[in-house]
Amino acid sequence: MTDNRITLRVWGDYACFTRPEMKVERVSYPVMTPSAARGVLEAVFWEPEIYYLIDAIHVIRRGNWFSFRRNEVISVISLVSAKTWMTSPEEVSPIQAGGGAPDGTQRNMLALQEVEYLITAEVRPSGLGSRHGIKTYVEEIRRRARNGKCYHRPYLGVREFACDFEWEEDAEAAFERRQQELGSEWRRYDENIGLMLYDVFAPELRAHGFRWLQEDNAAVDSPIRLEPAKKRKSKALTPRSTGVLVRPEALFFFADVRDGKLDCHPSRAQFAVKPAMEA
Amino acid sequence: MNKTALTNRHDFLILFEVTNGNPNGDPDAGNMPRFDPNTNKGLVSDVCLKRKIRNYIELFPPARTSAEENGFNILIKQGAVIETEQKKGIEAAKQLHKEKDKQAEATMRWLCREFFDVRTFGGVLSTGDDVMKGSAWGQVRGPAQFTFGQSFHPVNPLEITMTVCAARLEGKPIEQQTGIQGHKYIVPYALYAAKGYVSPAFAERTGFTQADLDLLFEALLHMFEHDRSAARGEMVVRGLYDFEHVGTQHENNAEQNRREARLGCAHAHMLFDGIKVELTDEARSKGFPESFADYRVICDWDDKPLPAGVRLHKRHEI
Repeated sequence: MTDNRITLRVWGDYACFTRPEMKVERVSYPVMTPSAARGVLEAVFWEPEIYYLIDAIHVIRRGNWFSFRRNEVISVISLVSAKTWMTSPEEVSPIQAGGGAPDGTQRNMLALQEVEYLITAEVRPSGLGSRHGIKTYVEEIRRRARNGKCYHRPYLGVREFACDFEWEEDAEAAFERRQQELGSEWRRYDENIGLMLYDVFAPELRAHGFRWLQEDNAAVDSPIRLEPAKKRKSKALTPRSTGVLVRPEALFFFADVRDGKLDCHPSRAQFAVKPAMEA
Repeated sequence: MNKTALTNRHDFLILFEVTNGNPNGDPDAGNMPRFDPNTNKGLVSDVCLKRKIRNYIELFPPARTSAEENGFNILIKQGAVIETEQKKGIEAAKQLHKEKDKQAEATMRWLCREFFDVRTFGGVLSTGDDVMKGSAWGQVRGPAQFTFGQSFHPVNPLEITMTVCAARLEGKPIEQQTGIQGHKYIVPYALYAAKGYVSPAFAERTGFTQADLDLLFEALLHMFEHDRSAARGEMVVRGLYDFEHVGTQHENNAEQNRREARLGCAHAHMLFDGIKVELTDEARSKGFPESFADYRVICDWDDKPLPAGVRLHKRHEI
């Protein structure tokens, strides 16, 4: 498996890995979650034929806590009212945000500042076809990460906290090297965090690959349907892939950062609820 | 989705300054200018910058060439609005939609086409459906992404007391209505930098075009000029360094260039590192900056070649 293992070093001025139990006023976990790490990797390279299993996250700089209050918008853009808008615009009004307006509110955010991590992940085939061998994809990821190429700008938890990234050949070596470089600024971070969000779906489901949940699937009773999805007649907005329909569902694991390393490989991580296994 | 969608990645750095004003108040601290308590450096939130852009577009929307082209309405408005103008614009577009749009997808596209802010910054959609809740379907990810603005040096907010010399109400004693009536905060001087990124992959989804990007830069350059207020002081954009990724191949190889330009040709942090902002020697002996003249902005890319496939546009030099 070692050939399929990749390591990216990511860093940014700010980060907020929101705890789902405190979703109104965002409070970050003290360290990057596996799902946020997956998001960073997918921003660099995503392809339905592969998926990432986050192996470990090394914390190079845990960062300081940092609180921030902003004017936010509580209303979401309603598709129903947008449809009305097309035909009778006089019945709808735009979203009114900012100072005391009905759709605005002030929300606090407890985030991290000055963070840096090493993300180690396994690149695995998803079973949605294999035009190329896994090595080809690993090479492509390496090429992108080395040259600063990305599908979209990766971020640490929320999009305003954009991050930079760099390829690393070996996680342990990079971890050692950064400790030396940081010198007196280096702080080892160890903490038994307890329950932490692993991702919004079980890794087994991820192994099947997935396609986005579309409106025409909304009537499905069972949240998870394992037969291949039917072909869409209309021009697909998103992918060329088909796969299993996955409904987002939070999965938690017991997170323990030891020697600056959060081990989160599904084969070693202890999940709060054993995910339903599918062959 | 859109044949004319933006094809090149852009990473940009915006430098802006404030003189005797409050660029962005902190509601946690009685509207004091935001600053980071760990470093004392000033902060300006991403949403503050996006608000300015929205307000600028609302003031100066470009003429819409046809109903099929992108419109420039703003969906998320500040406080009270004048809606007449807006409805006119939408009236023009609605002819297209005589056939009912059942698909959420079509509605989403309509929102992106109609509203500049949805097309540029994205947004969260409500489908009014529980099954869809929390799925990736419920969001439009906009191509433009802003980070927090940070000042280069610690800021030192001052509290200014405001006195009133004329009474407003007849019924109340004049003494109660005059004298010290309020406070405001100012930053004497600070230079801030914020980073922005534009991802072509999302531009394709929302139909964000090169013209939209030009408009975004125009808004960034002029956003403070139409946002004057006593509280804000003087705010000026001092630099807008736009790194455009164009591809490393010969221009005959357009297809390959397009692919490279979409993903980018160099690390963004490397490009930004080439823009150095430092205090001049006199300012250094003084210890703090008092005006833009106390800063020296050095663009390394003037002397050394940019990484292959990247172009630098200094949008502030017109």
